[in-house]
Amino acid sequence: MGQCIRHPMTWEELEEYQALTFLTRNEILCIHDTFCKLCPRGKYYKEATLTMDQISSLPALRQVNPFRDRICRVFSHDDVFSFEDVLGMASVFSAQACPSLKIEYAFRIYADINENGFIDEDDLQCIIQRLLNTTDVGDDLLKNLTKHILGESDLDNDHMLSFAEFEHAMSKSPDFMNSFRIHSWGL
Amino acid sequence: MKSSKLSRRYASIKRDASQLYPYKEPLQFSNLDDSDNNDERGDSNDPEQIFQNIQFQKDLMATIRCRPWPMKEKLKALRRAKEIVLKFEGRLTRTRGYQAAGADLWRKFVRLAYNFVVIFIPWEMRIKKIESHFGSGVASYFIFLRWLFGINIVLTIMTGAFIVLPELIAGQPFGSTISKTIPKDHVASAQDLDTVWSLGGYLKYSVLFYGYYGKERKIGKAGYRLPLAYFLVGMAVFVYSFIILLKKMAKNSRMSLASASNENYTFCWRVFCAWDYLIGNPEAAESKAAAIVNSIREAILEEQEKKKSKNLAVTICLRIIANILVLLSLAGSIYLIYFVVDRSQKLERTKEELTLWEKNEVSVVVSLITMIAPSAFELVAALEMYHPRTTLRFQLARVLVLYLGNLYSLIIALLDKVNSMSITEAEVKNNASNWVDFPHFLPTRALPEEEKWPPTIPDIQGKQNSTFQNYLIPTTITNKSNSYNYNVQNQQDQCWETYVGQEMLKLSIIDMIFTVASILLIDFFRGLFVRYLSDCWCWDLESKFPEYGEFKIAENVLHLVYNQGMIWMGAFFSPCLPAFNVLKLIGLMYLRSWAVLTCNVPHQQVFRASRSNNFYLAMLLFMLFLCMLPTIFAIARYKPSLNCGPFSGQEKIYDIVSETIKNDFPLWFNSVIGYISSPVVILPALLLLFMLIYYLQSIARSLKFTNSQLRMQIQSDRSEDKKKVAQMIEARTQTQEGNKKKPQESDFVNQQALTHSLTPRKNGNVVSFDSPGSRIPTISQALPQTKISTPVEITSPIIGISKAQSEHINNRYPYFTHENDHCKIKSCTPVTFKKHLEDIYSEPLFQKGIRQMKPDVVGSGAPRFAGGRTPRYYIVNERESRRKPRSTLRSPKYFHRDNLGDFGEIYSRNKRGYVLSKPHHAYSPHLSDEEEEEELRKDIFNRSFRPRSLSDLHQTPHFYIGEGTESQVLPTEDLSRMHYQSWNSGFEVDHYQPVYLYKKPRLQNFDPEPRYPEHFMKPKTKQKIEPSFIESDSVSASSSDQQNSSTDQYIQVIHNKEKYLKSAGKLSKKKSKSRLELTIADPSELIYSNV
Repeated sequence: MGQCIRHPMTWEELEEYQALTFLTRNEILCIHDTFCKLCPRGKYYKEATLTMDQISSLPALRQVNPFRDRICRVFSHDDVFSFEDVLGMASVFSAQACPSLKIEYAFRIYADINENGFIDEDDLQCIIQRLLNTTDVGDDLLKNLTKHILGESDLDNDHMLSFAEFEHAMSKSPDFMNSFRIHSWGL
Repeated sequence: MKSSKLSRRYASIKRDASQLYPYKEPLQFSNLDDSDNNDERGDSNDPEQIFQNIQFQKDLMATIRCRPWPMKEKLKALRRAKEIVLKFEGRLTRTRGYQAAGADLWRKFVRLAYNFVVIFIPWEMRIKKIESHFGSGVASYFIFLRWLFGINIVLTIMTGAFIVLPELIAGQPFGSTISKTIPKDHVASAQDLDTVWSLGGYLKYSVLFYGYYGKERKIGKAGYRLPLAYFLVGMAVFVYSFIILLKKMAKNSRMSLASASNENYTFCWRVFCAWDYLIGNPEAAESKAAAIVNSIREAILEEQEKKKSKNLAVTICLRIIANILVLLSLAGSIYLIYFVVDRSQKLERTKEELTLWEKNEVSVVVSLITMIAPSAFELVAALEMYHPRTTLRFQLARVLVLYLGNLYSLIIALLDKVNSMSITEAEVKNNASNWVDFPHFLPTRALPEEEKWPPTIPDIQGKQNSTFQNYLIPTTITNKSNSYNYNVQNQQDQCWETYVGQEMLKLSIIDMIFTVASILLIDFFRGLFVRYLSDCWCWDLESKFPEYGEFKIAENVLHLVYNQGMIWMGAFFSPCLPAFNVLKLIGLMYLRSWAVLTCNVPHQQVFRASRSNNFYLAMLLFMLFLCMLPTIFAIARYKPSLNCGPFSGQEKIYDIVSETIKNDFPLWFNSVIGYISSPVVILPALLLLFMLIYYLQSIARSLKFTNSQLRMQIQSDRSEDKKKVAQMIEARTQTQEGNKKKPQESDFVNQQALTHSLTPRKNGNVVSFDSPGSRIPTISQALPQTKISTPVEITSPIIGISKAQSEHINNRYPYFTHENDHCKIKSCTPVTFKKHLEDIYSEPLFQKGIRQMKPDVVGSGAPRFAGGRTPRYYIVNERESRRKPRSTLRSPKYFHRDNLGDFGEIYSRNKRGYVLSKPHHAYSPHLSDEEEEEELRKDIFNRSFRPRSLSDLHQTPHFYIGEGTESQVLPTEDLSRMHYQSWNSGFEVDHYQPVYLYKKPRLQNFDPEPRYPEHFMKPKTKQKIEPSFIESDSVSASSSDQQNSSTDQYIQVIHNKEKYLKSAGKLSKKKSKSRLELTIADPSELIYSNV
């Protein structure tokens, strides 16, 4: 683990990052520390990038989160994370983030397992399998479940969930805001 | 809270923005700031416009955190917005400039303060750690605990500052009066452990309890009215608790209002909200997965069972039996407590020396019951075979009833004891009356008696104080008599308030001990046992019998509620109880969190207690109300003890208030109070309250009605949408047939593109950086490549490039970043200017998309965007018109291109929606141009009309419709003019081309039509001509310049011809170039573009 050049962020940068994210000063600094620890030696933190593997090995995502690869894809650019990408990710997952933002990113995470911009049956089945952490979920269960999900939230009967439908359903969930959070980005 | 406010604000702003300038507007508006020459924009001096702009920028700044853009874009937008606001605000008026600066400063300060406050939220890290291990359910317990801790801190401050400290500082010192001295025959044992343990001895005669407080009306030099303060603080404790609870509940219910509606997305929530992203611990993740399986299975079963109702006699019988059992155990526990209290009373009366057990048996028994009974209930609940959730509810209700029953039976038994004490007190008084005049004694009797002889003692009230003096003086005189000693002792012992306080404190302490013991025994040692003996045991300890302790959230929360109830009940009699509770909660927090992290597994039946859930709070409120009753009852019903406490000698505790009012307030105030408390005022006030309640209720009812109406409306809208969808599908199939002829050509191109995609890809990679630092390197890389690409490959390589790029983009944002895509593709394709400038171009683009909407809608005389559905059709129209000029102006090549476009469209149709992310799009440069606009608009709508519905799924179809009719429509004048202009300029610049030949191949690849190269070339020409840009290939410089100019131009465009903005995106690019040209030669061109 190298250390990037200890370039302390300037006050203005911190201010800007705080204005742009839902993170507090300390959280930003903490993420900065983590980032610096992970990124290759001798690089300015703004230019350094982390690979998806590095990000998904963070304790917050490591091993446990069934959607970590999706998260990485959604938040990275060109398959690498710049510092700002990491900040953006942390901001979306912070407890202070507004619901619309969270829902938007949640949709991105769930939607595109097969990359068509909708949550269709394949996506749903994939999500369920990931959630249950097995691939041998009973076929009945899967079918049943997708049927029910689409039945209650697919408003236009096209057997897919668009963002609008997804948002409509999720904005009413009492638990979504609580569960779609990640706190600790430290190592 | 902050977030909710923000989001609300965000929503409102979004609404505004969607009406005025949809989605991406801020970006190009923000360009304004780069242009400092005011004269170019005719109406930029219009303060209204500037003001609007500034307002918009401010909104943007406030809500930028909520925008789902990548950080870089956000950063850019923010900086621009800041600049613009600073610049223009100062220009508008000086005061506004100051205001802005002030607001900025204030914002900074708020942020700083927020940062600061966050540090001081206790146990934040601890809770977060727990959250990351066990998820939000378990953490909600700790958050609740922390909240209770906060309340107790306030209560402690209240009692500490207004009661305890004044008494300590200004009150009479220990030993100075009878109520503050330990009786002589108790002094010897005052420091024994068991005396201290049972809160006797020194503890009993300390500030811990009611009895210690002096009854002097004013203490200290400042004349602090301690008794009054005591009473008021005692009431304020309840009032504060009520207010803070209700406030919190109201806030929560406001937050969960959305989920209160009938619409239930059970399955959706179960799947999409199932994963707790906080979980970071593999074990927790496993159990979470198991819980998810359970909940999903349950949901399906439930769904199926909803349809068929099964009523088995057996289960009903079992349930009846179970309920009987529960009732029995409840009754048993209540009887037991009552019995124990009774017994302890008898023992106290008869026995001289009590053993440790006898002293503490009441609280021990109560604590034991509170510990054991819930598990018994759980066993019983297994009989009932309810659904787990119902089981949990039943369990909670029963436990709550148990706790309440315990507290109530305890307090009733205690009050019983108080009754008997007052009887003995009366006897004492009778003894005492030997030394006191009869009339003086009378007032100390109960009120009814007093009322019997009002005529005989007319001055009772006035003499009250003096009676006490009289009463006490004789006793001190007869100091030596045995009977006196007996009296004094009895009097001191007979302080029932202290007694109640002692009991409550004892109960609290023993409860704490039992909690600690249960954590250690049930959780820790069991955990150790299971962990280390499982290897050498005959069965698997970890998964079969003892297992690890589960963290039962609901029961633990109930325990907290119970604990708080004890505090409320005893706070009046023992002012230090809240302080003790603070310590207890701190200890509990550390112990529990340690235990949870070391030796607990999460509950299988995860009780979903989100923060917005009012369940805990409702229980707490219930508890508060019920705990307040006995205290209020005691205050109102019982006479305060004669010899101890601040109210000694008064008839009733609350008399202190009326007394103070009578003695220390002016006469008029007295009469006012008299009027207010008379039925003349109170009855109307009550009536008014009832009326108010009725009124509010009827309002709530009507709101509910409106809600249901709105829901109906939404549903009908939905069905309309479905119809539209069907129509669109029809239209789609029609156009599809028409388009299918063309794909062959496009296939050809497609292949070519594939063959050449390799080299350009690198290029694309490089190009996609748009940070200022990386620009120059980009160019250097781009140059060689463009050189390589020979004119032979005219069409294909570019396509390749664009394809590569879009692919590239694809990887990055599989779906949402249309804007970027557009920018990139655009820059690759028709615009032909270097990709580095994409950010520049992107802005006008957005504007185009945005601005187009308005005129179009107005023009077509359509209703305003209702719910964001209708506008899409306008988009279609617009598309047509946009296409017209092209079709008319384009060279034959266009046809070919169009084919490509069709191909792309077909593709997009298949892919629906977000096609842009697909590489196929890149095949058709124009198309991508168009599509990106389309996408843009879609985006705009997506963002601006949040509650949009289905129809936006089917935007592409609109597009086809438009496509179908495209060529028939005539070009509008302006558009054509624009194109002409571009043509002209293109030719005009032609002679520069050789100079930049290395660039040209690429451009031509893009589009062999001359007008494209022209765009590309112009900035270059400018560079050449103007000495300021010496570095010929400092594209970064030129690009920035370009940016400025384009924005200027762009603004002009906006102001001058709102109507023709459809093509503004394209135009602005061209125009920007044309403006640059201005320096070169052609003013007429400029006029053209600006007209």
